[in-house]
Amino acid sequence: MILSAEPRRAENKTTLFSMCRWLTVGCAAIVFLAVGCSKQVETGSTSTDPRTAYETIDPSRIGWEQVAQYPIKELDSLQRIAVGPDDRIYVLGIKNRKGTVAVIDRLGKTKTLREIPSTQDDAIDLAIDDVGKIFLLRQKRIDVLSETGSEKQTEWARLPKMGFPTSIIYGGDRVLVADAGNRVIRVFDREAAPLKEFPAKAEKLFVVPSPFFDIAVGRDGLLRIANPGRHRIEHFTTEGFFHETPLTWGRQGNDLEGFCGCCNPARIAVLSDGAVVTSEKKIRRIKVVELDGSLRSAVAGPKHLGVAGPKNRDHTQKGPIVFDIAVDSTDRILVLDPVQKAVRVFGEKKKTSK
Amino acid sequence: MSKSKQIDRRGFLGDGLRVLGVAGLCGVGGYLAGRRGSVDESCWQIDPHKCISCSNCQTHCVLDKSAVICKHAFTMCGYCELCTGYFIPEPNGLNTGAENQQCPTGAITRRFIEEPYFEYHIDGRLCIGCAKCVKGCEAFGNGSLYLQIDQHQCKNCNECAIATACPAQAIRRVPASNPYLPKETPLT
Repeated sequence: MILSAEPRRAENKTTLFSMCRWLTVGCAAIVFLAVGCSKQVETGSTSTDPRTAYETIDPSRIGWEQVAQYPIKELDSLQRIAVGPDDRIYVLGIKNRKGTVAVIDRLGKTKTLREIPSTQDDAIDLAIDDVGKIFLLRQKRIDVLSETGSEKQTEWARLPKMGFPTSIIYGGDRVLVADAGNRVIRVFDREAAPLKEFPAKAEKLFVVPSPFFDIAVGRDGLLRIANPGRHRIEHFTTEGFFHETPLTWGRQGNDLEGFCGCCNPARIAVLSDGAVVTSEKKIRRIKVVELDGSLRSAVAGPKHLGVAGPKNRDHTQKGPIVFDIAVDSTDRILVLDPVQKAVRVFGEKKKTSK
Repeated sequence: MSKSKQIDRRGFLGDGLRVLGVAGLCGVGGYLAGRRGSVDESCWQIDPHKCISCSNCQTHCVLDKSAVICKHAFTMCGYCELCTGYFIPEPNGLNTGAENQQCPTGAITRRFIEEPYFEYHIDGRLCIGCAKCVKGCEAFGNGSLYLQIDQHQCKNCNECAIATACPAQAIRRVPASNPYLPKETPLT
């Protein structure tokens, strides 16, 4: 008996289709399981974070609200923020593994970002003088860039080899650099001549357990220095003289009044009335502290900044998540959000009369 | 009367070279075999950059006292007076009182260096791998404390029970010649 080839071919075809169908279902199931497992690991569902208890801020203590947000898609990662003339916002970040400065217009509507892709990946911080000249702090030196970035980047001053510079500011016709390695502040005049270095090493005034040592100068001309290991803000003149009034203040504490962890605040800025804006790492929160050290209000907590919960743990190799801050001429607080890659703008809530 | 075999100089040198050649080949063979053997040998270790300090290591190890212990990356440590790996989040005081310490077995010793710096040492014999200090250091500090499998205690099971229980897949095989994964990386 001779069997026809047609039914057998049809049968084979059906079997093949069936196999393909089951194979597709199987693959989908594996992908589904894998995604599920990875999500579980990401959220760290089996781990509790000791910070969780401190991540909620009483809404009545929040005196600021977000009024704008400028996304910065042009940079791969964001590091530092500074405000220049006409309230232009300067952001230092990394693009294609090179330090890059982006400039945002005051209104933020035009989003005219201008990149100055000439710095190296050792760019640490930036400061802007009153004519828009950009001072770029690097590991071993300070470079200057013109406002437009069109001119060639040039070396402005050399820094000691053994230092670990963390912050640069311009104020009172001086350029000041915080050196976490030597725990000193270096003062330069506008011609790049080193004027002073304070305090003397023997004083051991500053305690810097991690590379977060920030400085800010207010409109009163006083220099504020974050002394992170002592959880304090110290006040100095830009000539390096210790200023006892306003008081040096700050204490350790996970509560809203204190500075959390081993070393905070990580970043500071100054409002026009002399109040200090502080940004903490670990419990990522931003708050405003009066001249006398009393808490005025919170600006944003981990939940507002979108970094609450164990899934937002710090990357151990890249370092902790830190929100850099700056203040513009109208006392709006600018928060550099490295997670969402944006500048968040906070304005003070208007007090409603009862 | 037997006549002793005469060995001429050429024969002696030839025999000598043959013996040396064989010995050399054996030596090279032995070296390669030994080298290959050591590369193939591996052991279990925790990747500190993946570890989420969930404390599963303390309870899932087949040993009575877990082979996982805390290590300290001194180059990353801030030598803080208030060490968040040593102290509970809100201690009564910055002293060595047991009620203020994170560690349930007192495995961390605190030693004054100079004002205001303190050094912290882990006693591996007392550490049970509960990761409380690691979690505290990671949450509030520099993250210089981390967990590692102590190779002197580890039985190197074919199927590591804590590797199976690890929710972050942080435990993997590493070469036995380089059995630890230290956390010392420059801070940024």
